[in-house]
Amino acid sequence: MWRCAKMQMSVLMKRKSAVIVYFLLLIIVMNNYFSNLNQYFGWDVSEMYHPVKILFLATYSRYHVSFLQYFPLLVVIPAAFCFLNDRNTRELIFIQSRVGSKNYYFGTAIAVFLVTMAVFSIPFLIEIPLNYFVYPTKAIGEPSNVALYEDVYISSVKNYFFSTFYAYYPYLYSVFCILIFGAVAGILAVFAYTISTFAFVKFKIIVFLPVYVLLQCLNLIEINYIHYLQMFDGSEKNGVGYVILCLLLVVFSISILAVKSRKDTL
Amino acid sequence: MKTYIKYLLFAIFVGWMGVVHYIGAEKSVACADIIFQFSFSGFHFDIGTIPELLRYYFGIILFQVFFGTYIYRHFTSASVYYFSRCSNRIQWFLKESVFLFVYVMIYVVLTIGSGIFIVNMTAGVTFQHIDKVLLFYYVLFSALWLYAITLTVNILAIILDSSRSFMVVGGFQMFCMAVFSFFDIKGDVGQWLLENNHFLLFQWNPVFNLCIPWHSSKIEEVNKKINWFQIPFDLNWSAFYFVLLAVVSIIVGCIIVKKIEFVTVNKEGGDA
Repeated sequence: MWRCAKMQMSVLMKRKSAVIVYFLLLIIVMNNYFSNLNQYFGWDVSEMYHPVKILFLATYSRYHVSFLQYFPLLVVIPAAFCFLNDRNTRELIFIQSRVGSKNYYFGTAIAVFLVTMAVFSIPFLIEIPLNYFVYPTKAIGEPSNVALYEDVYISSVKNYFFSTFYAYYPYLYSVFCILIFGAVAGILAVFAYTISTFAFVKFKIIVFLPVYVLLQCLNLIEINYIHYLQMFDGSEKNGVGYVILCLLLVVFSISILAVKSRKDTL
Repeated sequence: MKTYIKYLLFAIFVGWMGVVHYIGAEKSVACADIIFQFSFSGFHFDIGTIPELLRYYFGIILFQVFFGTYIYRHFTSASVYYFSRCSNRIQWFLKESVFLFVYVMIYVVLTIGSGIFIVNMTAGVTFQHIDKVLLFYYVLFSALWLYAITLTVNILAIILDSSRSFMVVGGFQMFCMAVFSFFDIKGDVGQWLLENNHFLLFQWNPVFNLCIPWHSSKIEEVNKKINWFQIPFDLNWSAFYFVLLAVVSIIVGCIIVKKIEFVTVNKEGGDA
């Protein structure tokens, strides 16, 4: 299984789609970084915001919501088309006959998860050391300009996921949040990949639907996925529900792939 | 054909989704309000209301994905066989385009129709005589835009493939929605649009043209109900704009279908 995952990863990482999305994300992160530099140049330490609060994925970033609205469509581009590409180029037959059906499905799922996670976390991780070295580390200001001892601020911080972790280690917390963001992107990509293994998915365009429909259905029951994906979101959230949903997606994907791997598709 | 008819049932789901918060309302709902909801009236040019815009755009994206292969599917497997029996490809394309337009019309009417029907059954709907005008423009704008964009997905898919084609067209639509976030809009939106000469950008943005309440009308009663920003943004201008987009996409489609070589390699198998 790991051999197949490794092989698929090496193929996926060389694909134009993964490379383009990676550099696209890198460009928008760098754009955020340089526009921040331009904006905060010359600010006094006492006025300056905390460097992690001006990261691209933070609530206060100007462009991140526009990025997150693309997210349901972007997340499938790096790796989720993997199965359909293999099927349409008939490579599926060669790989499956060599590594076995079960190893193929699960190995590919691991590859899809890891590649998507890497694409959706590395560009954002790069911004953390850049901010750390450029801005004064003593800066603790809040971009919403709410004083740190005010009840509004304290209650909003309590709504962060693992708020105690944030209070003690804000930089490590940012790394953790970005890795979680990448992992969620990976889970969603695996979900789309799993759906693509169904026979009714004849065209690649259909692969865009599962994640998009899922996130829109959440929107329908008043769950805005943007609040869950951005960092330092002070609104009330259902953390347990978030974890359960992710686990359900993982269980669903594993179950479907287990069923598929038992069927002879050659 | 049966596959595509099945997809039209999603219009009922989209219609229900659009009016879900009206279901069981204590007072009856004005028909105009339902039409405004479907034409993105919840979007107020600020980042926080983007989910509202996306929610009502969901039906448009859904249709594009399902019908984005309606014409393109003939160019994938057995295309050589299929087109060797087709003497006039432009005529064939025009015929398929007409069928696609029929599907679009059914989808749009079914979406708004089911929305109004569901609210009428659960909370009641009050109708005014100007609703006919609003409904006409809503169906016209939505149908023409959906038609132009779905046809573009099909045409681009012939050259690229279905996923790349959707990436280009979907990306363009998302850009149209997000374009306002590049500006720092403060105070009255209408005033901002006119004072800063951004009106041209607004007027040529197809997604903004879909929003009925932002328009102005020569009919006084309709103008009182809409024109929320008090700007000279005529409903007929948008109608003309969408017709233009649809005609351009048909012409481009004719040229591409005429020039394209028979597809011997299935493009769906390439790099994603």
